Order: sequence, then C-alpha cells, then structure tokens
Amino acid sequence: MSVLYVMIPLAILLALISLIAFIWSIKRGQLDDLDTASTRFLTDDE
Amino acid sequence: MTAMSSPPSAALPTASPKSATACSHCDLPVPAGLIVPDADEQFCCAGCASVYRMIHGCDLGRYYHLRDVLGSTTPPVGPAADPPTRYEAFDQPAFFDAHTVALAGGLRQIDLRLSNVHCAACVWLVERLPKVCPGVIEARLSLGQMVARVTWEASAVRLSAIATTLHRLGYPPHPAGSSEARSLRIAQERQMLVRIGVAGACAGNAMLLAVSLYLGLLDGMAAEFETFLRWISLIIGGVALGWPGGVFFRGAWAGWRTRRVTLDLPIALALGVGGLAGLINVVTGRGDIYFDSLCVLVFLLLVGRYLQMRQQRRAIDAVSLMQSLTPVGCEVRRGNAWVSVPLESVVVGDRVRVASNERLPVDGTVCEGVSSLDTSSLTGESRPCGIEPGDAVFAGTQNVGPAIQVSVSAAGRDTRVAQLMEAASADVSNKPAIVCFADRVAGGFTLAVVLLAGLVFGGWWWAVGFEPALSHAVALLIVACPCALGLATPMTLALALGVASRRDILVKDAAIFEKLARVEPARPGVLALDKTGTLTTGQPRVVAWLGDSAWQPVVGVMETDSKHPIGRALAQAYGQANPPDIDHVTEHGQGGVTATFDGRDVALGSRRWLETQGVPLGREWVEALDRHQDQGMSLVVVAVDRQVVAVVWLADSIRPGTAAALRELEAVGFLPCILSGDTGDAARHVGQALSIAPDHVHAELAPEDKTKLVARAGGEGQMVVMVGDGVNDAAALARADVGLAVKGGAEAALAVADAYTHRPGLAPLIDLVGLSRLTLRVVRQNLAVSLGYNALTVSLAAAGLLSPWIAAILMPTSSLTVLGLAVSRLGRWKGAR
Repeated sequence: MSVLYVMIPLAILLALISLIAFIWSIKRGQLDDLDTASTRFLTDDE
Repeated sequence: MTAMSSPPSAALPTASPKSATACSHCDLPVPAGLIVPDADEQFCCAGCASVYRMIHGCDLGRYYHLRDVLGSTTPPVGPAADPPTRYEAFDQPAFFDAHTVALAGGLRQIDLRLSNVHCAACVWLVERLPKVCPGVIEARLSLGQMVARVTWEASAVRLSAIATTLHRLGYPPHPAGSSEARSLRIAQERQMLVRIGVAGACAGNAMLLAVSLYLGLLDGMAAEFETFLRWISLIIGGVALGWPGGVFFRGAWAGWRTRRVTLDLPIALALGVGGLAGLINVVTGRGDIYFDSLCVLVFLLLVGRYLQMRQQRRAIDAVSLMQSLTPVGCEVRRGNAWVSVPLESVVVGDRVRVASNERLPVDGTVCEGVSSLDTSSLTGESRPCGIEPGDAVFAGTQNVGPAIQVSVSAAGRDTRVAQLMEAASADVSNKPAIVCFADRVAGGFTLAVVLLAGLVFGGWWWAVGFEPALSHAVALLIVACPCALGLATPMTLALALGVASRRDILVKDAAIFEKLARVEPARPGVLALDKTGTLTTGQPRVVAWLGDSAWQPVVGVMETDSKHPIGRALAQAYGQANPPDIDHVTEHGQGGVTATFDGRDVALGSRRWLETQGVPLGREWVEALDRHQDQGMSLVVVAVDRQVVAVVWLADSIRPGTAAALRELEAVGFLPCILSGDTGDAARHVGQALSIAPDHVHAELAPEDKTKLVARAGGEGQMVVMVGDGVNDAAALARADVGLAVKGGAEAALAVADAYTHRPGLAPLIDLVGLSRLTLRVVRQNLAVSLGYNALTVSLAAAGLLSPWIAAILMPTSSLTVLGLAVSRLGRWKGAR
C-alpha cells in the first residue's frame, strides 16, 4: 500500500493541471458569455 | 353646425384596441390606410417591407420560424426605420482607426453594440451576416451584452455598408466602447470563477481523502497512512481557506472595523476555528479534522454568491450606454458641402443638418428651417413643440417635421443630456442602502453561537477535562456555521432574479426585493410616477371630431406618411383601405399639411398655424373650443378652401388597466403621486382620471425638481419607489430607493434604474411587489429551517456526539433542504395574478 505515497500526489498533480487549464480558459475570456452558446445549439443545423 | 361624432367629455379615454391585421415582419398592427387587399403579407411601414424582402432574398426566411419558436417571451421587434446615411461617418479615418482593429490577411474587426437584439433568432440572423453582406467573413453575437464582433475584408466591403445592412435588418449598430465599469465587473467575475474553481478542486479532493479516513474508522487504518492522509488534507484545506476562503475573512474583518456585521462574520468564525483546530490536530496527531466540510462550505457559499452576481450582471449588461441616445454621426457643413462625420468631430460653431425623423445629435440654435420637436424623452412633454430659427434645441430630442439646420452650442459630454446622465450616475452612489435581513440576523447569530460554545466548553471542562471540552467546543463552532442561510440567501435572490427576468423585468440589484417587501399599509411608501409614457401611452389619440365627417378619409390619407405623432394618430383613426385620391401633399413646419382634393385646397394644422395661413376661426367654432379649453388636449383644425369645416381633438390616452393597478398598489401601502414635466392641465387631468389626490400631482417639473421631491420624500423616512422612462426621470430614478425604468424610453433612465422592464405601464411593478414579498417570505423560511438544523447539530456537538462524518452529512443536507424549498416556492410563481 505504500504505492499511496506516489498515487495520491500524482492524483493531486492531475487535479492541479486541470485546475490550471480551467484558470487559463477563464483568463482568456472563454467563460464570460455562457448564454449565447446554448442558443446556437438550438438554431444551428448546417 | 353639424353634429359631433363623439362629444369631448371630461374623462380621457383609454387606448383603443389593436387592429386585427399584424405586420408580417414586426407583428405590430398595420394602419388601416396601408392594408393592401388580397396580399399575402401586410407591412406596417416601408422599412418592414424592405427588411422582409431582404431576409427572404438571402434565403434566410428561417428567421421568422425561429423567432416564433424561441422569441416568445420578448416583445415584438419594432419597425425598422429608413436607414439614414449617417453610417458614412464610419468610413472616416477618425472613426475607423479609433474603433476597428487590423487583423492578419487584410482583415479588420470591430465590436458593434446592436439595438433590438432579443433572442436566439436574432443571434442566428446576425451571425448569417456574411450571406447578406458579401465581404464580411464572420459575425459573432453575444446575446447578453448585445455586442457583435464583425470581421471583414477591408478591401471587399466598407464599414458603412456593413453598418447600413445591420440597420436595415433591424439592428442599428453603435461602436461598442468598453466602459471602465464593465471591464471592472468582468474582472471581478473572472476572479470569482477562479476562486470557485480552486475551491471546487480542493473540496473534491478533500472529500475523497475524508471518505478514506471515515472508512478507516470502521476497519482500522495503519497509522502512517492516516497521518499521511491527514497532512494532505491539511495542505488542501489550507489552500482552500487561504485563497478562496479569504473572501470571508476579508469581509468579516472589513465589517468588524466599520461596526457593520454581515453574514461573513459567523462564516469566518467557523472557517477560522475549524482551520486552526485542524492544523493543531494534524501537527499533534490527535483529534478530529473537518477540512472536508470546510472546503465544501467555501465552495458552496462562493457558488451562491457567483450565481447572484451573474444574474445581476445580465440585467446590467442588457442596457445600452448613452451612446445610443444620440446618433453616431451627423451631417456637418464643411466648406460648401455637407459631410457626414462622426459625432466626436463636431465642434461648437459647426452647422449640423438634422433630417426628418432623426434625433438631434447636439445642443444648439436653429439657424434654418421650421419644424416640430418631440421632446418627450427629455422633458416629458407629450405634445411636440414648434421650432423656428433662433430657438434653442437640445440633443436627444427628435425632429418630427422637415429638416432643419442647427448651429452647435454644445456637443458630446457638454450637452444637457450628457450632464443629466452624469448627475444621475453620481446620484446612484447616494442611494440609501438597507441592511439586508440575512445580515441583521448574522450579528445575533454569532453572539449566540459564541456564548453557547463558551458554555459547552465550560461545562465539559468542569465535568470531564480540558481536551474533550476543547474539541467539543470547536466542533460546535464549526457546525454552527450558518451554511444553509449563507448559501440559501444568495441562491434565493438569484432565483428571484431569474423569475423576474422571465417576466420581462430585469433587476440589477437584488436589494430592491427587500426594499419593496418592506412597504405595508402600516409603513406606507411613496410611489412617484412619471406621467407621459408611464401612466399614459405617450402617443396622442383622436378623442373627438366636430364637423362634417365626410372629410375624415381625406384627413386620414393626407397624414399617411407623417412622422409627427399627431399626424400618425390621425392616419390611424381615419385611414382607410381605399383612400381617396389627393395631390400635392405638402408638409409645412409646425405640423401643418396641405393638399389638393377634387380641385379644392385642403389644409390642416394647429389653430395658430391656420391663422397664419389666413384661415380665421368663426365665432361659433371659437365658442365650441373654449368650452373644452382646459383639458390639455391638442387641437387640429381642418379647412377646405379657406373655410373651417372640422376640428379634431387629440389627447394622450391613459393606459388601460392603470386605474386598477393603482388601487392594488394603494392596498399594499403605496401612496401614488405624479411627477410630470408636462403642462399643469394635462397632469391634473390624468390625476383626476386616476383618482390621485390633487396635492400629489406635480407638473411642469424640471429634472432637478423631480430629484428634489424624491429626496425630500426619502428624507422623511419613507420608502420611495419611482417609475419613469425619460431622460428627465433619470436623476430621480437614481435618487429613489427603488427606481424602475421602462425600456423603449430613454437609455439614460435604464442605465441608472435599479430595475427595468420591456412592458409599459404599472403591471411590472405589481409583479415586482408580489415577487418581493414572496422572496422575503422564502428568506425568512430559509432562516427557520436553517435554525432548525443548527439546533440539531449544536445539540449533538454539545452532547459530545458529533464527529466529522456526521457534520459532513448534515451540513450539505441542510443546504439542499433549504434550496429545495426555495426552488419549489419561487419556481412556481407565475406572476401577481
């Protein structure tokens, strides 16, 4: 079970990477407008 | 003298019902004079007809289907006015370089704020701009901000052509400068999202680790792994409390320093005690840790606040800025020619030409031309006033007569309109604030919790010992956190904001729910109402016709193309499907119109104008007129071959349902009063018709006077609610406790009001009051349920029976219960009926 000493930090590292990606997308303004994209789905057919 | 078709009575009539035929493009009623028999499509104006053909011509007819399916809650799109040539100013280097961005490959990009964007169908249509306007590469529309980012090939099409196309499609564009306030809001929201992301990541991981530890309690866990997991929990908890959790610590500290207790205080207490105790316990290796509950707490509380922030931001974003009050460009005389320039280039002393049906872009003096001006958005006057060379005119008013030339005396920020706006925006910060219900509870709550903890500590120390006493007291402080209240209140407000927006009321600040709910018959509030446009329709209607009714069709057809409100009213009332033939229709200044019918000269206009044309009124006519002099109505005289044959009375009619609405609001505890910029006669008449006490009717008010009255009423300790729609209401709206503006009025009023709506009249206010009372009841219910849960957990903690896994289950459960109750009560609210 001493593999836990490796696995848990590794898992946290993965979580950290996805968190950084999330923050990067926020800083790029991708989450500023969450409403319009949902309407495009309704009308897009091409 | 022939009989009257209907006697002008003392009471103003309510607006007549709409005609049956609706315009194929905009769904507004088609005037009888424009109905084409046997045609499949009917249009209310040339603008709508051309848009319809353009849309179908580019094979985009799906727009109408989408609009029917997706745009059901929004008001009909207004008729698209004839495009002015003002967009030529967009091609000028001064504008082009300032507002557009150069991209690689010879492309240019601009952000344009579009008016009239309502729904997903508009998004669909605008994003198909490349099909309608060749040369445009892409158009992306943001529905919330109503800003379109257009990319085009600079060599293939001109910006003015793009702007004109957008205008003809029904979405007049303005350059979207980004204001400082907006950038700040966006930055704040992004920061909040980052915090939520971090808190969520920490919460998830902390919970996973905690579950392992809980299971370890059942079967036993090797000490080394337990220690390892506890240290990792400490690190994760530390990150969550330090970074996102810092919001609550800073808030509590700021509140403590200014002696204002907010809900941040008990939350910070719980987080602080929990964090500290957890740190000590991990380092010493003994005792319970609660990091999973603390991380989830931080996450949920921040999500609640973010949702409320986002709903409020939606309402704020949907308001266009003052830029759309005045046109983007205007025609200025440069040398010997008229050049279209952007508004920023106009200086004092320039000569500006304002065409018919255009808004004045500047303050100035008329130097050429005789016309009429609709000043209702600026002063509240319901009747257009005549202007001639030498008169002072102001930006934001509408020219409803022939073209005029104006010598500029003030432009841009120096215009009266801009200064009114600035004064109103400054007043917003003077708005009286109330202490929210949740914050008022927070102080007593914290005190009670601290006392209880002290008692428990003392009791256990005396009974058993120091360490158990400490751990039980700590447990109590952690679980007594008003998680349910702290989470449920912003969520409830966010829900209420969403419910209101589905009823077409956009609320910028959720505090108004509490303010409105506080008004009761025992604690009356003042309801300050603007007259023109709010209580009345703002458009004149024919009230009575005295004279030979055979001339009615002629009058109707003469006014078919009129843009003057009185002309339009006459066309609406007397226009017919098969109009008689007339020739030489000429529009003169000040609302006079002449034409030839059947060889005879027909003239109609105001009494004063006809006298200048040499048509005096005979004595019996004067007697008839004098009998109804003081009712504040407009008069149109019809003369054939210089002989008066008829007289028409028109008045601004009261909106249907207003009287009933006022009775309902009075029953709630509001005292209505009218604040009007219009003449005393007109205001008094409306007051009488609506049974408002005469000393509560104030007329001929300048915008500054309105503000003073509102401030005085507020100073007497009463809650002041103001409803209005014009620029002259903006400052008063800002000063009132609750300001409600109607969209379609001046954008300036929308920018400073606390809430605004598309629906005219008083019905939205009644909805808002009903919703506010319900919301406050739900918030109180939240408190009761939350207290119940807290009583349970505190008892368990005091008895020494609490452990981290019980806390981890009970805290989210309490939040979910409260949320569920709030959703079930607010979600089903269907309006005040």
